[in-house]
Amino acid sequence: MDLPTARQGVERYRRWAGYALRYAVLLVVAGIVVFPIYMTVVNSLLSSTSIIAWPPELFPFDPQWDNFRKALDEVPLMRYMLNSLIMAGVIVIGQLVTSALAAYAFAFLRFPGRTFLFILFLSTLMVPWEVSIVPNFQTIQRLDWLDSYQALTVPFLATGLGTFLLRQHFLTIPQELRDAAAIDGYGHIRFLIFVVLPLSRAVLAALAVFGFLQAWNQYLWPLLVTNEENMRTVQIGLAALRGREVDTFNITMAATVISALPILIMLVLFQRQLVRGLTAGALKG
Amino acid sequence: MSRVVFDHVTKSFGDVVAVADLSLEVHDKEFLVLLGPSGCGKSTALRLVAGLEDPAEGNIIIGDRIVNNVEAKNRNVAMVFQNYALFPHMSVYDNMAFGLRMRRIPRRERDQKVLDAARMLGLQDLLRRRPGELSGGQRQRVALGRAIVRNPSVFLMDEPLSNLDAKLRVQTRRELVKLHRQLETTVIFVTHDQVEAMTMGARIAIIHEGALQQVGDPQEVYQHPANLFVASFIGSPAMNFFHSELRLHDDQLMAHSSGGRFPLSEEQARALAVLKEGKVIVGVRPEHILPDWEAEEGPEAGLDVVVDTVESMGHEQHVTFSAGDTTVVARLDAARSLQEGERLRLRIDRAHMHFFDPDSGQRIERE
Repeated sequence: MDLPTARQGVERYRRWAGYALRYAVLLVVAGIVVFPIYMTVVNSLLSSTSIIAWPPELFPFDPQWDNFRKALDEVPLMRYMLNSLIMAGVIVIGQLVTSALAAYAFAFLRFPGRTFLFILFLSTLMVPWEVSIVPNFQTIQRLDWLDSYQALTVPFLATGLGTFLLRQHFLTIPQELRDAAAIDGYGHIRFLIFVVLPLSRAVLAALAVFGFLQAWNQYLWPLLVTNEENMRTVQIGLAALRGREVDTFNITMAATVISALPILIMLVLFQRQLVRGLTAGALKG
Repeated sequence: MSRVVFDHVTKSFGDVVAVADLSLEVHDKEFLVLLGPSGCGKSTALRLVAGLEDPAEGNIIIGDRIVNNVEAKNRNVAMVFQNYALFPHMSVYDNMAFGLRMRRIPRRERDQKVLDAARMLGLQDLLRRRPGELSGGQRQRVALGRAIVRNPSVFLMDEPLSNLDAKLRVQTRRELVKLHRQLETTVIFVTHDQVEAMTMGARIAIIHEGALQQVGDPQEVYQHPANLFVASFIGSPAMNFFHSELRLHDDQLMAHSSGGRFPLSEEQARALAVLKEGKVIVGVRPEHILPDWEAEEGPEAGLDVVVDTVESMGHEQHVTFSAGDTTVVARLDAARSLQEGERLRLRIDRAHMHFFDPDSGQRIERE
C-alpha cells in the first residue's frame, strides 16, 4: 500500500474540479430550459396586480389558486382539451397501425416495386406540410367535413417518418424468426402481432409520444378546419385567451398550465416505458 | 412414412442457381447430413423441404405426397435454426408452446407436451426464463424443444451446432444422435463441418455449387470419393493430389508427377485404360503416406523429401513437405519426432491411391 502522494492529490483535485465544471454547465443549461416553464407556473399563480408589477415577481408568495377556476370558467377549456385528446389519440393510434403495417410490408415481404414505393414514402418526408395545406383543406371542404373530428385527424393518419422508423427497426429482427413462425403456422398478421410488435415496444412508444406531441401542439390546421366553439382544440383556445388585456395574463398562464398537464402526465408515464424498452433492447442478444 | 424426396429440384435466386437439378431420397427415420461449403445451396435445399422457398422446377415429396403447393405449416416439419430463432420476449415455456398454441391444442395437453420435452432436454427448471438469460447450449436445447413438442415427421436442422463452443458442440453432437434414436424421426441436418457430418450422419450427401456430388455412408464417401471435390472436401488434413502422366517403364505402368513416380498395379492399370490422354490425378490421403520405419519394402512409390513443417497433435504429427510443385501433407505416428529440414524417405501405400480424370474430375475405378 502506498501513501497518497502529492501527485495523487493533484489528480483527485483535478477530477473533482472536472466534475464541478461539468455540473455547473449542466445546471446553467437546465436553468435555461426550465426557467420559462417555471415562470409560466409562477405567473399562473400571481394576482392581476402583481403580474404587471416591475420588477417581475419570481415567486408567488400569495398563490392565487382561483386563477385556475377562472380559466376554466372563462373558456370551455375542458371541452378544448377533450377535443385535443380525441384528435391526438386517434392520430397516434392511426399512425401506429398504418406505420406498422406499411413497415412490415417493406421489411418482411418481397414484392415488385418495393424499393420504389419505399423511396416514395421517404420522399413525403421532404415535402413540408404547408405545401399540402390548401389542397387538403379543399378536400376536407368538399367532403363536408369542416368542424368534425375527421377533419382534425384523417389527414394525419399515415406518416412516412413512422413507417421509416419502424421499418428500420423491423429490419433488425432476424428473418429466422419469421421462418420459425411460418413453420409453426403463424401468418403475417399473427407474426406481426405476437412477435414483431412486442419486440418493437420501445420504437412504438417513441413514435406514439412523438406523434402525440405533434398532434397536441398543432395550431394552423385545427384553426382552418374548425369554426364552432365545441370543435376547437386547446391550442386555439389558448391563443384566443392570449389576445386580451394585459392584466388577465395570469389567467392565460393558468390555462396554459392546465393544457400542458396531459402532456406532462404522458411523458412521466411513458418515460419509464421508454427507458425500460430501450435497455431491454440493448441487453438483448 | 416420412421419407423426403428431392425429385429433380432446381431453385435459383436471380442469376444464382442455389440448387441445381437435385435428386435425393432421404429414407424414413434416417439421419441424413447435407454437407458442403458455405453458399453451396444446402440451406436452400432444407428451406425447400420446410416450405420456406418454392422450387422453380421439380418436386419435393414428403411421405407419399408432393408438397410443392403445401404451406409450411401443413407439412408437419420442424426446423432448428443456426441462431436458434427464439423469440426474445417470450419465456422458454412460451417459446416451446408457440407452435402448439397455433394448433389450438388444449391447455392441459400443451402443458404436458412442453413438460415432457423439457424433461427430455433438461430444461424443466428454466421454463420461466427468457432466452436472454440462458447460455448458448441451453438456448440451443430450447430450439430443439420447440421442434420436439410439435412431434413432426421430419426434423430439419440448419447448422444448429455452429454457434456453440467446441466442447459443447461435441457433447451436443452425441445428444442429438441419441435424441434421434429416441424420437425415431427423419432428420435432415445441414452442416459445413465434415467432422459433424462424419460422426452424426447415417448417410452424407455432399453438395457443391447447388449440385449433389455424392451420397453415401461416412466410410463410403471417405474411402471412395466420387470426384475431386468430395476427395478434397472430406478428410482433414485434406487429400494430396499429384497431377500425373501415365508412362510405361519396362512393362510397368507408372504415374509420373513432378513429385514422384507411382508404379501401378495391373488392376489399376486396367482401370486407367479408359483415359485417352494418358493424364491422371493421383490422390493420396495423408495417412497413406508411410514413413520408411513403418513401411515394408514392396513395389510402393517412394518419395525422398525434406521436412518443411511439423505440426504435432500429440498422438500423431502432420508433416508438410514439397514434392515437385505440390505441397504434400503426411500424417505420421508420433513414434519418432521429426525436425524441420530433416531428410525423410516416405512410401505411398499403393492400395490406397485414388485416381481422378483431370478433365471431368470424376473418380476412376474398376467396376
